[in-house]
Amino acid sequence: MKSIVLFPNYFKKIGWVLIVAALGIWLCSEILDLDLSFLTLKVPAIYSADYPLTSDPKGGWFVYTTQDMAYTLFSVFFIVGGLLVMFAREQVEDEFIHSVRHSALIWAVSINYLLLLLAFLGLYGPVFIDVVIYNVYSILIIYILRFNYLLRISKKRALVYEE
Amino acid sequence: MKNNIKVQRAIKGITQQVLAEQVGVSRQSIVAIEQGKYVPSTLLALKIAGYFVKGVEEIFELEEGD
Repeated sequence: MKSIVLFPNYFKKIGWVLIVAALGIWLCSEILDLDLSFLTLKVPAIYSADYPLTSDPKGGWFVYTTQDMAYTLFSVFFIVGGLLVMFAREQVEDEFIHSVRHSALIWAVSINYLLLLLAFLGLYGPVFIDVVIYNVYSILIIYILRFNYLLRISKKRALVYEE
Repeated sequence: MKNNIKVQRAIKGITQQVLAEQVGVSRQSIVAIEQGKYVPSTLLALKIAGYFVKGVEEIFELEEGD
């Protein structure tokens, strides 16, 4: 039977390490407010906006720009880590697990848009920018939570069910 | 859809784990199928029936409303 293409099982561990690293960067920069100026680097950009607040006012297409890379690193680590966790094979990856994946994905997309809809209807002003930022990660987070919850339930069911 | 996999296992004297290994799925999948929480694909149904040397319809049966 044709099965969906997934990463090897050990990619899940790599994914979790990346997620923890991302959370570490977020903790250091947002909560502990540590000096992360060493992460301000000159990097190539496809497009860099030319607006007064940037440390490098010369924007444009295909330019080098000096930017604080903390948020970029957080996002890259979190998204790559999340995708690895999401699409790494289980120890035994069979059609039942595929059905759990399918159900978790539908759940993640539905809940994501329900939350977004509520945010559109109930949140106004600059706070909405936060919603857009959280929305980048929400499908990954909801999928991982739902998938693992469903797996845990089925494992628990298998434990208590008589042979 | 209901099934009598549990009965077939008892006749053959095998555990869910053995059946799972023979048809290439996890034990939790067999539990989910036996409990009616998951309807297997035609392929898996054929494999299970083949393992018990039975026809698919001797093991799986449509319920009212299916």
